[in-house]
Amino acid sequence: MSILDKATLHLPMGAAYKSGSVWMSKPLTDDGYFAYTRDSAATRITDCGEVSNVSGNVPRPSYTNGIPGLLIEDTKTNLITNSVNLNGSFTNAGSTSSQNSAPSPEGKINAVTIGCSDSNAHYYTIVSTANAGVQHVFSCWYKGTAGETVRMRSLNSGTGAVDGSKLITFTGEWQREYISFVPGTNYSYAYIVDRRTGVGTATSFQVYGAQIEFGSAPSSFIKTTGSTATRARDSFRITGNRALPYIGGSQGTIYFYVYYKNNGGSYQQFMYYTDASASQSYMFVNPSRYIQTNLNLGTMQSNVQLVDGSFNKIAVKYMPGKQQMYINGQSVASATYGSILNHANIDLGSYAGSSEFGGMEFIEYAHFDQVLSNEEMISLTTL
Amino acid sequence: MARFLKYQFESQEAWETVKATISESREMPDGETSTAITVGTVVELGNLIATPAVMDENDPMVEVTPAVYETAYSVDILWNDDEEEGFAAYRIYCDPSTKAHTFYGMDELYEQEYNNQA
Repeated sequence: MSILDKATLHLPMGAAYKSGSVWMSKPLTDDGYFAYTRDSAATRITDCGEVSNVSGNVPRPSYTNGIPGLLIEDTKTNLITNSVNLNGSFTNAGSTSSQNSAPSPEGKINAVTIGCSDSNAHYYTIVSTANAGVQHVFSCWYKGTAGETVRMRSLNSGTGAVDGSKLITFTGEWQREYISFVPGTNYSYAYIVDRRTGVGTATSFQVYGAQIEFGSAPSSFIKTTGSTATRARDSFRITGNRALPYIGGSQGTIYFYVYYKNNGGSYQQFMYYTDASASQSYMFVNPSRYIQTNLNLGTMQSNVQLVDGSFNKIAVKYMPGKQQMYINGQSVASATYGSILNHANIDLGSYAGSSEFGGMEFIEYAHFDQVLSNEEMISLTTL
Repeated sequence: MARFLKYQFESQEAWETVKATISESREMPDGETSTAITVGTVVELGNLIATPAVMDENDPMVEVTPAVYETAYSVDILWNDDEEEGFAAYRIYCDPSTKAHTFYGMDELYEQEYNNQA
């Protein structure tokens, strides 16, 4: 018998879904689902590693290293126009660019081939001064000969800017790379390649899917044409006290298997339970990448940091007077708070589907109406 | 049914006044106040560029003529359902083919609004 057989709620890896809902494997009842909304279209990564379009309100199991996790993301705007083939949005200087010249991560012939044999070659776009002082992140897919390198870069001609730079080593496959930067009051420039820095060995390579958005880590790709475009936020919830029969009571265990990407937020929420009076129990990752719980789950903080871009199994067991957190097979925090809420509603990945989005892809989630033993917690959370 | 509408306010301050009518606030554990809008997706475009900057042909790092920005404050809203009260007076209808911003995959929604404008 698997430990997960004891769960009252179980959202398994590769859960079934349709527009507006994601179905759990437990309970197998008409109400055994999360409501899912997203007001706009979006993209995800398929099991073949391709970028794929998803219509509004359709959940997004997106694959990282071959593992599907439900993407729950905040609203983001791609400030680059023609973001797929970069036509007209980037400028050559000593370089050449050939649109729609190679297969892209979409599986279509819409990648751009860059030629940059000139030692002063650079291929760039200009970033608006309208958002000076706001952290931006610039991302793009690259594909080049394994072992060759290019310099990705941002540069500002004025004061007050924080520039980004990265020497990329090609793997021979498509790879998404990013740098973050903070524009100043003068124009900033984002370079897919800048050979003027004297480094970079590649003289020809392919690119696809450029994106400049606010924040410190790139979100899923947003395709644009002649105008900038916004992907609306994802909301993933059980409301109306519908979860009370499964997560209510004064004791239980909560389990997550997630892929974590640090978005730098103060409250990177991934679990929010409320009772019928909207009192809250929640867990989040803080900017230093420690997991914290609020008072109603014992005000715990993990003694280990999550690694940006890592898979993690996290579980918390609780009862009046005792709470304990496990990450990846280790006990990482405990507390002795006395009062436990009678939980009835669930939000995963954000506060109320509207703010404080965490940087998680949800691979698996379960709730148990019992306190698991230490041995079971270790077994459940061991990667 | 969702609606994609565009708005212009005479200033950011004017927008903030109207925005407050659809905002929900709550106090965070650290004492800060978090604000959320749940009636739709709001994108503040701000002061849009009316005339792009002209850069030196030989040195794109050198600005010959700075960009000119509109004085009006632009906002796009993808409403979950119908538009909230108090917003209709600020609606604008720009040509769908030249709009500065869209919601991914929702161009047709705006074109419907543009074609059916009162």
